Amino acid sequence: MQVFDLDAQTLELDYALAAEGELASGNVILPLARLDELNQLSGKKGLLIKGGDEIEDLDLPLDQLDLIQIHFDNFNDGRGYSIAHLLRRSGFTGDLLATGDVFKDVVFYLKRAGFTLFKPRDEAIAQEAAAGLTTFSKPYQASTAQSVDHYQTGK
Amino acid sequence: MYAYTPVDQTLVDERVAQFQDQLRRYMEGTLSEEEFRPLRLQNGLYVQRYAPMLRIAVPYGQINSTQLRKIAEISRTYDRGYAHISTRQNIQLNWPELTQCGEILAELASVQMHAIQTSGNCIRNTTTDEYAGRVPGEVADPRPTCELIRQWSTFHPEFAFLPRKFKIAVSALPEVDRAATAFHDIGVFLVEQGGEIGYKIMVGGGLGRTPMIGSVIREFLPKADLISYLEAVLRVYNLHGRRDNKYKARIKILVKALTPKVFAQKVEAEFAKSILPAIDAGVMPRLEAVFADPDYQDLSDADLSEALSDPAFKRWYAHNTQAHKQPGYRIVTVSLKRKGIAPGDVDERELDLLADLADQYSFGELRTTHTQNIVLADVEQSKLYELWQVLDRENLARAHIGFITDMITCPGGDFCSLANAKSIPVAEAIMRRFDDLDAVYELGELSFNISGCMNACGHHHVGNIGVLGVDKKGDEFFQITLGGHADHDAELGKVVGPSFDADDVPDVVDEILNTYLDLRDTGERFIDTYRRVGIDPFKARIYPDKT
Repeated sequence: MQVFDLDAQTLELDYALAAEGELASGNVILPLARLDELNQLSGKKGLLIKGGDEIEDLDLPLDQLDLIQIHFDNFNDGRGYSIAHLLRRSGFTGDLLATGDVFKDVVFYLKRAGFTLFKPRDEAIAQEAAAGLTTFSKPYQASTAQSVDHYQTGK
Repeated sequence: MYAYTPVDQTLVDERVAQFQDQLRRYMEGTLSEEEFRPLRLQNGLYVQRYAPMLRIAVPYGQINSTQLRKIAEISRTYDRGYAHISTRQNIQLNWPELTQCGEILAELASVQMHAIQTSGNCIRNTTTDEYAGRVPGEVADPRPTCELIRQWSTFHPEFAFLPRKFKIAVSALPEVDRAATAFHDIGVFLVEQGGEIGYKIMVGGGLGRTPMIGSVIREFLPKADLISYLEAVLRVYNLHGRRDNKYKARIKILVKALTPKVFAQKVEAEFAKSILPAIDAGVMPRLEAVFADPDYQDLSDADLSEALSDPAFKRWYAHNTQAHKQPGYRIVTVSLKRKGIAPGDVDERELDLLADLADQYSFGELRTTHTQNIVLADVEQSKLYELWQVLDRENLARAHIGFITDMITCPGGDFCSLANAKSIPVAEAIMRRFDDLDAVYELGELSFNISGCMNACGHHHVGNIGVLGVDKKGDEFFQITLGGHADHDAELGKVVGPSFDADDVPDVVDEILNTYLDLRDTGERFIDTYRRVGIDPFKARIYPDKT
C-alpha cells in the first residue's frame, strides 16, 4: 500500500493484511483478534487496531511489533488518537500507521498524536493530504512533534 | 487581559489560512458537505434557518475596546449591524455570507480574535465569573487557570473528535457561583486546603435534554497537576463515551452509567499513568502577571450621597453595580435586556459606544456575561454618575440585573434551525408585562430563563422560573419549570405541568408570581419560598381545575 511519512515522502509499504483463515508469509499485519498468531509470523510484524477496540487492559507485545495500524472508519470518531497516545506511552517505538478516513484536515492531529505513516482515504488526494502535516507551524501542545507544551514557557 | 504572543498570533493566522482553504475546497466540491460540516463547526460556523451563524470566541468573557470596535465594524460590513452575546460568553453574528467568513476570520485575527472551537465535538470556550479578578473574596483569580486551559485545549492532538461537545468552567468564589459551574462537563473550583491553593474537580454536569448536576471526583488537586488530570478525564471520555447515539454521548451519560465513583477510579488510574510533566512552578506566576491589576488610582470610597439623591441613579447603582475589591472602584453591568430588542442583542453603534466607554471609564476592557450582558469591571465610583447618564440616555441602563426581566434567552426559532419554538417573543411579552420597575423589585431576586428547545441554550433548567419551547404536532407550546438554580446550591427545575400556548405564558407567569407573593415570608427570595413550600401550591394555582 502507498503511504506518506512525516516528511511527506510517498513510500510503498510492503505489508499484507492477514486474510481470514490463513497465514501469509512475508510482512503481515494481523487483526487484534488474531494476536495469538504473532509468533507464527516470519517477516515483519504488524497489528491492526480499530477505533472500537479496547486495548487498555491488554498486555500487547509492543517490543515485538514493527508496525501498528490504527484504522479510522470515520474521521469524527477520535478514539484512535487516544489509542495512539496509549501505545506511545507504553513504549511503542515502531511505526504507527493511520488508515481509513484520512485526509488533509486530520493529518496535523494524527502527526502529533504519534502517527508516523499515513494512508489517505484516496490516492488522488495524497499530495493534498500530506500538505496537512505543516498546516500549523507551532502548536500549543507538546507531542511527538514538539518537546514542550507552550504553556510551560510562554514562548 | 491576555495579549497574544507571536506564537498565539501565528496560530490564529494559520487557522485563518486553513479555514479559507477548507472553504475553497468545499466550494470547489473536493470537500464534501459531510466532511466540511464538522470542520466548519470547529470554526464556529453553523448553517442556520436563514443564513450561516458565526460564533466568535471571547475567551472567558474578556474583550477589549479594540476588539469590540472590530466586532462593530464586521457587523456593519458583513452582517446586519448587530451582534448577539451568547450564554457561553461568546459573540454571535446571525447573518454573514458563507463565502465571506474567511475574510471575517482574517479581520478577527487582526485584533487577536478567532472562532476556534466555538462549536463541534471538541473542548469549547472555557467560561468563568464575569467579575473575575475584581470581586472581593476569590480564592484566587480564575483567569490564569482559564488561560492555561485555553492553551492546552486549543487544537489538542488527542481531543479534536470527541463523542460530543465538551465545556469547562472555572469558579473561584466560595460563596457565589456565577458561571453555572456545576452544569459543565468539567467544573473546576479553586479551593484552599491547609494554606495551599488547588482545585476541586466536578464532572458530568450539563443542561441539554438530560440535565444533570456534576459530581465531585476529586476534592483537592494540586495546581501543578491540573492539565494531567484534565487529560485523564478527557482520555477516559474519549475512549469510553458513547458514539452510537448523539443524545447519549455527553460525558454526563458515561459518568452516570459507570457511577461517579467508578468513573473517578478510572480517571485516577489514568492520571497515575500520566507522562505529562507537572506544570512548571513559573507558569502560574507568569500567567498571573498577565492578569495583574490595572493601574488603579489610590482612592478611598467616594461619597455618592449627592448623586444618590437622584432616584433613577440610585436604583441603577443598587442593582447594576457591584462591590469592587479596590477602594474607590465599582463593577458596572450594562443591561442588554431591552423592550423591543432580543435579549443579548447589541447594535454596531452601541458596540462602538461601549468600546468608547470602556476606554474612558474602565481601562479599555469589557467582559461578556453568561446572562448576556456586558460588564465594565473597573469604574471609578466618582465617575459612576456621568457613566450612568450616558448609558441611561442610550437605553443601556435598565436597573434590573438579577431580576425577572434580566432574563436569559436563546435566539430560538426566529434564527435557530434546531428550535421548536420562538423564544424571543415570549421574552418580549414578559418584558412588557413587567415594565414597571417597582413591580419587578417587589418580586425580588429571580432568574427567568427561556430556551426554544431542549438543547437548553437558554439554560431553562436552572432558571428559578424556566420556559421551554416544545413542539406538539407542528404547533409551538411552552413548558414551565420551577425551582431551578445555578449557584453553588445548584438545583434543576421541576416541570410544573402540561405546557401552554405562547399567548398564555405571561398570565401563567403572573399566577406563579402571585402565588409566591402570597406565600413568601418577609425578605424571602422566590427560590427560598419555592424550596420551603414545594411545587404543589404553584400547581394548584396554575391548574385550578385539576385540584
